[in-house]
Amino acid sequence: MKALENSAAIVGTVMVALLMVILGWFFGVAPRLNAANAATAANEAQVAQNVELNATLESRKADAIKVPQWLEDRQDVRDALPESEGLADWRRTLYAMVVNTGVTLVQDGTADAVETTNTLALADAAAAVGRESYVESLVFAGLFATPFTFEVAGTPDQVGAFLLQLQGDDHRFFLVSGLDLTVFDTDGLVLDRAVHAGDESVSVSGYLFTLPQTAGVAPAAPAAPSPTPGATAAPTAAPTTEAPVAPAG
Amino acid sequence: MSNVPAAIRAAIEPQVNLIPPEIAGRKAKDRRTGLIGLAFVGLLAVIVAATYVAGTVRNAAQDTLDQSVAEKTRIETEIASYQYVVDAQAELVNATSARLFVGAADLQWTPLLVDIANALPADTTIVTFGWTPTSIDSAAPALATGAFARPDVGSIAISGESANAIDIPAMQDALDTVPGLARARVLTVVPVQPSDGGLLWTFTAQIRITYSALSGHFTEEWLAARGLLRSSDFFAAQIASATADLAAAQADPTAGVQGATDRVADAQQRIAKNEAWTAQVKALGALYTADLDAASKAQADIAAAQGGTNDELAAAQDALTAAQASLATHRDALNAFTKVALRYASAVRAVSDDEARIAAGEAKVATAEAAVVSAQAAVDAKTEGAAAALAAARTDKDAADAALLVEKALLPDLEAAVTTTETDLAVAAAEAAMVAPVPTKGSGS
Repeated sequence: MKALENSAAIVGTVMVALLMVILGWFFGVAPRLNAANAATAANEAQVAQNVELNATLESRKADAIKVPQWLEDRQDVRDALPESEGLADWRRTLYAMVVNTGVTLVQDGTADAVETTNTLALADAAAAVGRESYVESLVFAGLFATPFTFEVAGTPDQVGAFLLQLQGDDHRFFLVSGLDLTVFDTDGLVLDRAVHAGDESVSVSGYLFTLPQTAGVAPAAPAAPSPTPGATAAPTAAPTTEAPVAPAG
Repeated sequence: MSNVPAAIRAAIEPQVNLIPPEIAGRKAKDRRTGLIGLAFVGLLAVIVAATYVAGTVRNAAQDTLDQSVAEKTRIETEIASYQYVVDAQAELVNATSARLFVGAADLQWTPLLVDIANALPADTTIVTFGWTPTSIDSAAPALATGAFARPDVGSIAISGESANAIDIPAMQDALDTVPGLARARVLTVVPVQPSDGGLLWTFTAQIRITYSALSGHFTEEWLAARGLLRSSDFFAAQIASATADLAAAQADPTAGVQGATDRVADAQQRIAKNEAWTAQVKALGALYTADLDAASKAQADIAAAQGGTNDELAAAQDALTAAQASLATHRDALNAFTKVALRYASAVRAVSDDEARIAAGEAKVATAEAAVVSAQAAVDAKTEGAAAALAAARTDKDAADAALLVEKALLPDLEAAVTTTETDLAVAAAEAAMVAPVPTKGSGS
């Protein structure tokens, strides 16, 4: 009987101890260890992400040195593709070329600007002469084309000099997209100017391009740059009809 | 003395436990209960300690995580402060791509018109000229059609007239040689009789414009040729290209030399063209100078005629007027051609740069070829050395073989001599045994 009591006491004691250990593990130790493991895993992931972010940051810092050059390069592009349509300035440029070269401007005209996308396909034409076209891979946004046509008349030399200036580099870019030339076979009169047999009349159609600014850019790399460098224009904002920025030339 | 072994530890003196079993049992139970309680307290302490340690580990891990998150927030804030860099780069890339696009369909007309005019035979003139282009508003070029069509970028339609029918096919051949043009085809030839008599041949023709005619406006090559490129990326690309060319030339020197030769031929063709233009400008300059001289002479004549008759004065004034008119004409022409010449001067500079690059490439090719020749010579020398060593080894082997043969031939004689010698030795030993005195005990040696 006594042995039976002792056995029951031992079993009870062991059971209670086991219960204490189990309760201690599940309610004391295990939750904390699990939380520690989770925090460690999260920390490892965060450290890895921080390494990538640091690499990005270093890259940005390295690029920040180039920003003045980029802005200068962007300004070069603006010489060809200004931020506003600037028709008045373009006409002043065109009329100056007319005067400089001695041709007679018969008429000029324009139409509404339209946003332009890259639809050119020159790969086959380039391959036909053993070259590779670069145009298909170009991606851009916010480019507007303003159709512009005009007709001039003059001697062959005057017309040649005019076309040379028109397609020159010292003013806003004008893409000649159509050219029709007629040689006068008799003497005559164009507007108030006499033309002679052999003189030429040239009708030119083409485009002026406008590229409004698409992103806010600090004027120069600041020592302590602001997190919000400035308001940005809408990426596809239509060009203004007036010309605050005059094209070069 | 007790007979009980000491190992049993029996009491020496007789003992009697007077404690009642109930009390002894209670005491034992109390001790057991105390031990169990102590064990529970110990176990509880262990559990509490383990929980504390686990909590400490958790807190440390959480602190580390918090630090990492704080670091991430700091970095992100700093990255955000450089957003203007991303914007500037995106703006530039977008603008540069747009500029490349608008220049992709550009065709420089003045040089092309001049080339076409130069290709026309004498007494052949163009009356109308129309261009159907590839332009930015067309999804695809105005493709050529017909059996011999090849992809290109548009066509030119011309009409004109010639005093001689035979000049028209000559014109077609000449137009085919103009760079950037291809497949000139005269479509119709019709004779007409002008009012002043004679016979005139009118024609219509079509010429295809190839991709080569496009100016590549705003490409890096184009910008570099005009000194407008400030970025070093282009030059880095050029270096990479030259390095690749060099590697290709080293791999196949013949092909590299051929490519360089082709480029030189192309450059020479452009130089020849430029020289022709320069000569034309010089000729116009000479005319202009002659006009100036004529005007000066006319003014001198007027001055001299002041005291002369009215007829002489009128003649001098007419001469002056004619000289001034000629001067104006030639000045206009000279101005126009000077502008063209300036353009070709720019092209000449580009050609000069090309030639320098080609010369550098040829030098590299020559270096590579010399290296190949040197390597080949080294290989040849090693091959010859190895062949000589092989020949010497073969000679040595032959000598050794011959010696071996001799030795093999002598071997039977040597064996016979050895046998004879052994026999002689045995005989001599036997004779020595027979004649030698028998040693006795105590005798000396």
